[in-house]
Amino acid sequence: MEKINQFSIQRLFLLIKRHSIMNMKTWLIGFGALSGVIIVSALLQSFATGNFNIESLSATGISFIFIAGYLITSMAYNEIHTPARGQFYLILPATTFEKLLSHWLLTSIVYVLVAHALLSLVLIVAGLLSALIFSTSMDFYNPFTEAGFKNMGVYLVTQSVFFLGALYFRKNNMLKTLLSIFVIIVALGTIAGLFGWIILGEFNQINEENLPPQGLELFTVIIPDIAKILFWGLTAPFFLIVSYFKLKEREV
Amino acid sequence: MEFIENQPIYMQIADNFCENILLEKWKANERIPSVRDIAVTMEVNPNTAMRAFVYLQEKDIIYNKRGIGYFVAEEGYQKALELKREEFIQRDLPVLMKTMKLLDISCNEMEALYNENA
Amino acid sequence: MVKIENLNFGYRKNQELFRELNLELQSGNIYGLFGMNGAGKTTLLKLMSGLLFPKSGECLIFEKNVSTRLPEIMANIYVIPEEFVLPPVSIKTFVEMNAPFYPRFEHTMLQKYLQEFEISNDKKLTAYSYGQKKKFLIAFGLATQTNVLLMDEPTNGLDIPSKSQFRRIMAAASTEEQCIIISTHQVRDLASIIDHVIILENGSIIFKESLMDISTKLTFGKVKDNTSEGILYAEEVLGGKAAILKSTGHDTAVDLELLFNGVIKNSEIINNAIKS
Repeated sequence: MEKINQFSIQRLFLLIKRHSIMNMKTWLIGFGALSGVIIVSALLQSFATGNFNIESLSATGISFIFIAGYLITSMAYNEIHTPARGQFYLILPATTFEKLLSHWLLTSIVYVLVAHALLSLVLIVAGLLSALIFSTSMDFYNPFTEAGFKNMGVYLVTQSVFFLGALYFRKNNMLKTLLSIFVIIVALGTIAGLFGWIILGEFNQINEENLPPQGLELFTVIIPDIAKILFWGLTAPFFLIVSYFKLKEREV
Repeated sequence: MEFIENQPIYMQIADNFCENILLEKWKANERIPSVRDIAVTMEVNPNTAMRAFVYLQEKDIIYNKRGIGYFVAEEGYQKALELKREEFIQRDLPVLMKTMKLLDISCNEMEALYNENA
Repeated sequence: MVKIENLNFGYRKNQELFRELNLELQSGNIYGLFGMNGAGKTTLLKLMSGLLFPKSGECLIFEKNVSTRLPEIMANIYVIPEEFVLPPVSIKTFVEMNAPFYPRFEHTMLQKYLQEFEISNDKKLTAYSYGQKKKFLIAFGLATQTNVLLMDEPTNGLDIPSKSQFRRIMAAASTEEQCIIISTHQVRDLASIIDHVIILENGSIIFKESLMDISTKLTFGKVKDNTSEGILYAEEVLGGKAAILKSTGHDTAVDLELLFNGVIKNSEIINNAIKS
């Protein structure tokens, strides 16, 4: 009897399947619209410049991936925000961890890989069309490069904030998450500014002359390192753990 | 005190059983429908249906073969007849007599009507 | 099987709905949960299924706290809510999506009940009427074969033949291992199908008896005037008074509506008569 409470990979897949079936339509519409935009802008560009510029197109594509990803993540828990639908989700016999993991996997790792793969596919289609119509030279986009992986990493970390937002806010999750991020950044910036002003008030700027060597290290090495560790190592776990408790304590 | 009351559901089911036995639709040692079947056709809780079976078993009208089901008792017809007769005399007859008194119908008149219909 | 211990609950601070509520329900029974509008029937069902958490006290199923929402507990509860929105998928997809979570789910049962309810398999769930959706959920809930089945106003929105189908299905489906709780104010629809009566009033349970005890300890009938002895409750009806009396020695049909009114008016008198 106890075994049923342990993590079950079957239930995880069932939850992923369930969530995919319920949202597939929205996802496909979004994908169709954005691919259309990329292909049309590729053709317009080729028409205007006579060149198929993979650099600018992939940059546009990646920004789409980020925006659409945040949007999909923000909508991930729409089901539980309407009690008439959410009650079915809450009574589903699966652990909170499985429920959280299934949504997170779909909107983070699975999403980012699939989205990049689709982007390269769309760019191939755009390139082919452009080559056929405007006789531009063919160029390919490979998302699986170092820069590409870094992009994916940044998405995975930042996405966790929207993930919590999806659980925390009941309506307009994305806008509210963005507003919260903005408020927090302004608040942190103000605090940092105040500290800086208090500590370094007498100097106009930080440079090698007005700082002792150790101080310089603090600003050029230690603080950025700490910031990196915080960003890469702690952001996502923090927001996901908070999300876990948010889901566990969720009532209709 | 004047008092009108309705039969509880399980008694209605028991009545229906007795009627089937008296009409010889169900004969001695014949298997009768299960508790669940009766519950479904009568749209009642199986526990309520069960009460009818228990009641008739107590009256020796039906008997239970463990794991097989319920059967009409050997003396089922006789017992059902006795039970229904008693019920009629106890329950229905006083009402009938009262109505006869109220409408001023004499026993002779009743007898004539009875012979006419029979 | 279901046990509620010293449960306190309120939607807002200072506004208590349930206070030190205790309730114990056994398997093999179909409980009718009655109460006036706003008495807290739906809230109680939500607390029993872990959709709401008590402020203090607990609700246990098989001795396990429902608030943990562990799979072993949730795989044993199904809820048929009064208000619901189903996803825009076919019955087949809905079943594929949800049934595997319930270890004892029985597909042949589902088909049997859908057939009895005359629900075709060919549309998206969103295209069905409210009553049809409800019948689908009832069929699905019964097919999960969970030990605890909570139904909130199951006959609301059902047409007349469907109500009859519902009673037949309930008579056929309920098992000795199951504890079914049906919340309703449609007393007439369900009177024949329940075997226990629970009456909720102002956030507390003022009455909980088996129909067997009710029918042996009380007599329901019509009297000419209420000067007669042993009247516990009476109300005006055509040609006299419908009354609840102390048992006159033989069983009478239980008039649930009359009982409900009597208990709401003065639960103490009725409870004492049954306990004595």
